[in-house]
Amino acid sequence: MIEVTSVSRHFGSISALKDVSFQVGKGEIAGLLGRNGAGKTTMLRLLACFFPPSEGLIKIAGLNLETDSLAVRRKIGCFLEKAPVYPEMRVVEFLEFVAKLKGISRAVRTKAIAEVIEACGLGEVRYRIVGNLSKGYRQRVGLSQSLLGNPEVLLLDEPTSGLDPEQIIEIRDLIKGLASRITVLLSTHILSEVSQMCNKIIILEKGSIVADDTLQRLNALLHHGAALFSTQIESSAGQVVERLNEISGIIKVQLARAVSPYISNYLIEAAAEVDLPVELCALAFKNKWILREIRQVDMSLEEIFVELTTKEKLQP
Amino acid sequence: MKICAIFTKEFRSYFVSPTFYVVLTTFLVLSNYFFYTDLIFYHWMNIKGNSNPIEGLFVFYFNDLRFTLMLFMPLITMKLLAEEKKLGTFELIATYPVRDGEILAGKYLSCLAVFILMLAVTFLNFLFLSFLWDSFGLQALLAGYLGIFLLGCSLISCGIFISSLTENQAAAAMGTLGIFVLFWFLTWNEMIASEAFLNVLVRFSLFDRTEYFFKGVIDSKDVIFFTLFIFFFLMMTLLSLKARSTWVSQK
Repeated sequence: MIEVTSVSRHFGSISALKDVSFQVGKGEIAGLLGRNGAGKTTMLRLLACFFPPSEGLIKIAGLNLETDSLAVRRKIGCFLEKAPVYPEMRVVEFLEFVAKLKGISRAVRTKAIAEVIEACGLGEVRYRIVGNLSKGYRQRVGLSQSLLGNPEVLLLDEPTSGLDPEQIIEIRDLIKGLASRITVLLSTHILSEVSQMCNKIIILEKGSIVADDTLQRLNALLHHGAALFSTQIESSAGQVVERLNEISGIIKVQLARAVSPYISNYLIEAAAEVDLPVELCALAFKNKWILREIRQVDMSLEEIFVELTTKEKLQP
Repeated sequence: MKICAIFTKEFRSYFVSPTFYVVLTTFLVLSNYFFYTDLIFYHWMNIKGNSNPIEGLFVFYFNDLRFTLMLFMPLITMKLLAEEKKLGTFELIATYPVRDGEILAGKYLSCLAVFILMLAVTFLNFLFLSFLWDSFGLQALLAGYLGIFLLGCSLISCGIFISSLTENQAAAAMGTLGIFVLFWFLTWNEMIASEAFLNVLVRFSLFDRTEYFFKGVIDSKDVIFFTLFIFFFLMMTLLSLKARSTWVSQK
């Protein structure tokens, strides 16, 4: 649905984006992450047809962004950072204005507006002047205009900033609900939001892509193909670490914490091809240990983000 | 349809702005004051035996109206694009399937509609004197208004261009006024320019181009000049809109 191929964007001598390529398929929610100045907003502006790329090709729904700009804009909905709106207009007036600009026919306009008002919880304030609304409501108005016209691709720049926790949950549920039939590209600084909502993560650093994958695969890549497990073993005989090291494919075993004289937690790093739970069960049976817990430990998105944006580019 | 939506939104936005009411009221007070003083002068000329309304009333009144427009048009055009830039809303409407030309047309026409409204109110003065129309020559009066209308259209096109260059409305107004004043004084350079050069400058002097209209003469050269002037600044504005990297809100 979104195809970005070797895209660069220069502003004078500054390169905001350098040879960026990624794809987001239909039904996917992709999180666009990066530090301030990494190029996220420039990427969104390119996708929103605000300005063309200096080099490269962007296609949305199979349409070339440069040659079919108007057609592309009929298929996208954009929520811009800070949710710019006309402060002197009433909510309904603003949405009618947007609906007219989006070319929504008079026959379905009223219904379309009513739907987005309902979806974004704007019923109470529909006749209020936008400039008099709280930041949270203005944010919702901004989101509602992006949803008008049933866009096939939704570009969202910090959509939940300024909302209270209840509103954040509502908006996240709304976006997740939409994602079954449309494509969403979500730019945000809230990493927990990305790990909860997105099935794909794109990380930009200094205008280049340093990661483009699922959270699980990024974990594996960062462990260089290894998997990390945490286990709790009860043994009266001791020498657990030595026995664990005997398993073929074990990279490292570390005693994490002694819970009692007989019960301890261990961190085990094993090669990806090792089926550690099975091997561990067999070893526990053989040594008469009680295997109280075993689970795979993933890096948090925060850890992945820091790892990728502070170290060299990840080559999948 | 989209031009109509932008036109309606812009036109309404004037009437929710307190600034606009102040500008409108001041414009009407001044233009009516000028009409009153010019009419008194015309009456005095009548007593003296010179009763030509074109020389005695129209030229004086339209010259005053022209001066008033020079002062007030920047205040009408300043918000057209500078406000969008400041609010970040241009970035928003640029994501909709709307051409830059449609945005510009909607905004230009809305400002034009406000200007026509202002002119219409000044025309009321002449309606009160309609019993004199036979001696007036209605055609001369309409020619004068055509000159003022074309001048207004030109000032709006210049004003909208300056408004596209900044997000600060005050800066847009001052910049526009500066250009208008430059056009006003363009031919007041007898001491520094040769006669030949002054003849060239006169051709580009926006305000001097209205002289014939005020005397009841419609010269096609003047109409073409105004048309080209309007076209030039609208094209410049379109180019300014296309330079999108400058349209990112700094707010």
